[in-house]
Amino acid sequence: MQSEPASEDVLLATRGDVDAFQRLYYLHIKQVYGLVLRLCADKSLADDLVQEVFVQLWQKLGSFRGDSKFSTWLYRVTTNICLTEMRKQKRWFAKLTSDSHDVSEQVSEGGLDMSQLDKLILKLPEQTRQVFVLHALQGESHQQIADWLGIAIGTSKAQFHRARKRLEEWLQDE
Amino acid sequence: MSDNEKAQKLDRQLELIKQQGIDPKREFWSAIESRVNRSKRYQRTGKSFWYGAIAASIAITTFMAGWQLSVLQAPENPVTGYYLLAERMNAEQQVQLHGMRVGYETAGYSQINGNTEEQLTQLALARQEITESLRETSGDPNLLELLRWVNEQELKLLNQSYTLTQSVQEI
Repeated sequence: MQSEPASEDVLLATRGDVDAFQRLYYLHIKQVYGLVLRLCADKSLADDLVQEVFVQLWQKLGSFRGDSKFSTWLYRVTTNICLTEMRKQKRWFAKLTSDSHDVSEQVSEGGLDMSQLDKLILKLPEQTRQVFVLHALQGESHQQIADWLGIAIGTSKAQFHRARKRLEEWLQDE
Repeated sequence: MSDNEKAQKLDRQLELIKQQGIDPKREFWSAIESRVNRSKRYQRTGKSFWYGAIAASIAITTFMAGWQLSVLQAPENPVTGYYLLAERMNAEQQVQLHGMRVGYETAGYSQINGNTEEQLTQLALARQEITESLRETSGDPNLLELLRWVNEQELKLLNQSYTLTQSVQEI
């Protein structure tokens, strides 16, 4: 994960310093963008969402109490905003029925440098992918994921297991 | 490849991507900065609005208290020129408000949600109280000035709510 930023920038940003917020943006943009893209698997949507995420982060900075690492708080807020915004978007629902292979191709055509595993993650079905990203990459508990996605804990665990098995098979074929 | 080897391969790759995000290959900061600065301006305007609204409320309360005392001494309160002028100002205000709403909505703008309607209601109530005071007293030019200020704030607030919404949509 990203190294923790100077706490001074976090403090300055919470007091309304846009320059400090800009430094935080550049420090975290790749991680935030990676999380958003892996959750939505749509480059165009990720481009929109990442801007929305940072604008809302600016507005929510006052709620950061310093009880956890800034990066931990940042990624949780990002996940919250991202999942909420995605629910609002009609095209998000349209994606549920679309062919996931097309999604991966769409991302590849966007000229992004992605690892082999990232490309495979984007091929996973929607909910399976979200569970996998949040648990395996973000370290979130199944309880937290279940709350976010509105599913049972058992479903979250099953989806994670399904994702692992699929990825293992796909990696073997690559 | 055994199941164990497959799992280990996945775990190795997972560790690698945990360390790195994805480069968006696009610059988002300027758009974000623009929205952040606009939200700062809006917050300042919001604060100014409430300071003004509080000041107006105090002025109205003070005036009403003074008016109630004067009413005891003056049995008759004829309709004054101030009240007639206030009525005319209010009629013109309604035309402007309606025109502004129709204009924005025809152009495809929508009004921002949140507390804008609540603030507009507060201003409309303030206008009603001031006008009522003007009707029931012999007239006070300060009240007329207060009415002009309330109407002005109302137009500004309505204009701002539509402008903000459209800016957000554009980005």
